Amino acid sequence: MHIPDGLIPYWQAGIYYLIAIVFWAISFKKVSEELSEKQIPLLGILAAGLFAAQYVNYPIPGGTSGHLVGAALAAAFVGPYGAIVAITIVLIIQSTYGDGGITTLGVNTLNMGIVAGFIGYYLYVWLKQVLSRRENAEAIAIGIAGWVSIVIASFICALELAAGGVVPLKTAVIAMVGWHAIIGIGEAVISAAVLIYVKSTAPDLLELPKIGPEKPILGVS
Amino acid sequence: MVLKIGKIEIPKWAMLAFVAVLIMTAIYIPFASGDPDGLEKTLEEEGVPEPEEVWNAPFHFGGSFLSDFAGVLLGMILCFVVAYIFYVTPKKKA
Repeated sequence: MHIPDGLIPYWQAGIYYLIAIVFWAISFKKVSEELSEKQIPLLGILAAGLFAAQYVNYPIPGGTSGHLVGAALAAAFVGPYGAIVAITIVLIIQSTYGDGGITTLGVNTLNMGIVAGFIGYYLYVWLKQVLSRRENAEAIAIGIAGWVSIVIASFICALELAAGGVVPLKTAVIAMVGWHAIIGIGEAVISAAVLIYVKSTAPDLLELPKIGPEKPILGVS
Repeated sequence: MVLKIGKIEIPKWAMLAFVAVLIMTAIYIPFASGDPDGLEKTLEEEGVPEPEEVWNAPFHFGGSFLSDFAGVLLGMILCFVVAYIFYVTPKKKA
């Protein structure tokens, strides 16, 4: 889902940069203020792990491939602002590999960090409450949240491609959402597997404070 | 056990997690798909040409297992170090 340099008009990339700058300012400030000593290595491991997971693509039927985005998973550990920071670090390093881009760092952060991070986090927290009586409620919640976060991020990406005149709107939405609905299954499985593993080996990592907006969103905090 | 590099302290669990992720990724590298991802496939289906690069990315990896492994290792170290340095410094001052 990494939009490369030069695909969308620069003026449009600039608008997405402005949106991203607002979230970067809030996220980096909140994270630097609220990140605990134990969460510093956790953030580092999340960023390093997401980089590795995004480096290797898994095959998808139909001649395409996908990789973990991991914003929902990162948010489950460090909250949505922490996820934005982790994804931003990954995107910056990836741009030095020619993956994604410099001019599109803003739009890629918007899609994979802000949209996927916030939707993934709040859906995960809400589902965890709803499914609290079920065994492995957290794993089911992160699986669903991961899938939904990818599909919605791909929908936003399709709107951006259409707004930039790259692909017609209907085609962009059908293709992007269609492919990512399949790719998102991998996101769901990997996210759930990681959460199950962490819960069985180091459950305290899931109980650390989450860094997000102070006020609840739609009753979920 | 804690690894100390200057002002940076890395706990044992973080080192183990780093190595575990690296090993799992290395095992998966030979099976990784080279097919286009969701966005690339969409652009391919619509006949959108690849945009021209606006800058020369400094790192180029891929083509062999060792090259990919080096790429993953370097990227993981850079991500870890950036996240760590960025936040460990103000925490230490505090």
